[in-house]
Amino acid sequence: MTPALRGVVLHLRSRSIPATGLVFLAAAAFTWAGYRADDPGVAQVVGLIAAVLGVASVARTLAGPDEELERGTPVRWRLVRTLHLTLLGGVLLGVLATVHAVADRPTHAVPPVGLALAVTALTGLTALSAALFGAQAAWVPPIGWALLMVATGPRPSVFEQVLTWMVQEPRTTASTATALTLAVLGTLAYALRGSRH
Amino acid sequence: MFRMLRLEAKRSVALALFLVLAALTRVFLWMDVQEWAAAWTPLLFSMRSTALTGLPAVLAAGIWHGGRERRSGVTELFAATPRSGPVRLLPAVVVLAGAAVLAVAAVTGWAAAGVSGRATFNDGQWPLGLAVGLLAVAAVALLGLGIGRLAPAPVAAPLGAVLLFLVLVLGAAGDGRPVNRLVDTVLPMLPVTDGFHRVLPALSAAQILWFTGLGVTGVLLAVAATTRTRALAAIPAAAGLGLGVLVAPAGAIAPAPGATALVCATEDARVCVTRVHSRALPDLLGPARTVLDAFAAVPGGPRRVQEDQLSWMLDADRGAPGTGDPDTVLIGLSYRTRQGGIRWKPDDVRDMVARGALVDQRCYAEGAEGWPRADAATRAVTTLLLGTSPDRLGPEARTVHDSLRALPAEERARRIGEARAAGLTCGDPMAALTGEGAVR
Repeated sequence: MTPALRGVVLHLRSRSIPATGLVFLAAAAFTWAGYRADDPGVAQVVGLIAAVLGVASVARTLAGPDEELERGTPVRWRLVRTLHLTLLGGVLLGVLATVHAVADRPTHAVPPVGLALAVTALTGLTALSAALFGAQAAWVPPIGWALLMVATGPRPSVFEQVLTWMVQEPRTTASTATALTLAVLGTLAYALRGSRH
Repeated sequence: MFRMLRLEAKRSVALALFLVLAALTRVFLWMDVQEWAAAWTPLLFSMRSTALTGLPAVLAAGIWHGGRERRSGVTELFAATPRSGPVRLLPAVVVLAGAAVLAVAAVTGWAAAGVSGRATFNDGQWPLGLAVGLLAVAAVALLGLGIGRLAPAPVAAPLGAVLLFLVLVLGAAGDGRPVNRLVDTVLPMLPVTDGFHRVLPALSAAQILWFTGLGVTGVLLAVAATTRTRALAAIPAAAGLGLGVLVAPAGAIAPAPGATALVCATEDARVCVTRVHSRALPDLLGPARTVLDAFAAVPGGPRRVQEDQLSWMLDADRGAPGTGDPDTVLIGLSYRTRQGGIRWKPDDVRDMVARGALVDQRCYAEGAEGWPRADAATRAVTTLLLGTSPDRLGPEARTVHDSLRALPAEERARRIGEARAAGLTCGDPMAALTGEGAVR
């Protein structure tokens, strides 16, 4: 094993990526199970909650066991953090999109753009929370907000569209802009500052 | 002990849980405040429905709190203190479950205080239902503590919350919810109900067994030290569930005859509403009398205006369309204000009663064949009898209105009477109005 590869493996292990991968697979399984319901509404809600389930496991990976120690090492941490976040979000999105593609029932699937925005924006919000409150508690804002959005459903006014950005179908400018802002802001904040400690 | 509780309250998620849960319950309970503001059963239904958002938060807080010691690596340190595990756990149990129950109880009490001033029917069974809701909150908090002690990983809390939310969403009241004893017992949310119905106490008894078992399992999980005791900890929940399903009634919601008993106006016994909606009576009285008086000259005209005693949501067996009592105008009062009055303007109430006096609307489902003709006939007659402005009538209705108006009073009343007879038996009221054909 080359030193670089060894570094990657150690990084993945220290961030409990294998367990996170299992959660991603569980999210994929729930998405698949959602298709067993013949009701398109049920399948879509299950698909969306499965995405939230996947994101719930991301927070834990945003900090190592000893941040102080890590930051002292001569590694380009901004690059590592950016790659870590985008790859993790990308893998989750890929896994879920694959399930929807294999199931091949567009009426029952979470709309692709909606799914992509949900995963990226929730991952971004997790990263933002990690930068603000630390990785341990970073799951609270994204999971809390996401579940509330599913519980209330879409709302009409522009302010409410911002509040319920995840469940606005068809997409509106306000909801898409909110999702993109969260994704970009979260990635930037985490890449620059890392998890608060 | 009190000092320990205070310490625990200050140094745990209890305060945050209290605030979050109180806010969630307030927001989600008040979302359908019009439904429950003046009746107990709807309050019970809405309060229990807040479990959808409240319980995942409670479970996450419980798991988070339960895993605290092991995450911080102080298990061995605390085990060295001269107090047994269960004793050390007691403050956490009391504080966490207490914070959750207090939050929901406070907001529910606030809502109940408002309802108690406005409710016109009280069968005394709602406190039991509300208590079961609180018991569910306590049980889930304890279960969370147990799971947290078992699985202290930081990811356990969000996963638990999302999974519980998924289960609750799939079981939320609606068309998709399966109707059986197991589902009714397990889910903290009630099956769909309204002011005309009541929740059977047997369901509450079944849920008390189940949620008590679940709470005990949570506590046992939290104090269990070995794999074997952890496995055994599942027994109370399983037993509670088994007993609960045995006790649970096949249909958890039953009609409440006391709520649907008619209350008639003292000034005019021809106008009646159900007891549970009796605050809507003053709003109905004026418009209903106007319509009854307007129809007075029509042969075979309506004699009474009554609120429909059947629920449009829950009572499937309403008899075939067109077979109702022709003397009685039945109306549904599904939109009410927070004071229990009718949310429509008096003119709209009057038009609704007039429509009900002329046709059985179940014969002419909107969009169905015959609906446009029946609708035009209804509008023409309503405008004519009530003396309102015909300017807003459609072309067909306007033509009929004008030709009816030109007729002698006696012939006009006869045709309206025939149109009414046709409209109430799923015939063609327009044909009777224009004199095209005799009554079927």
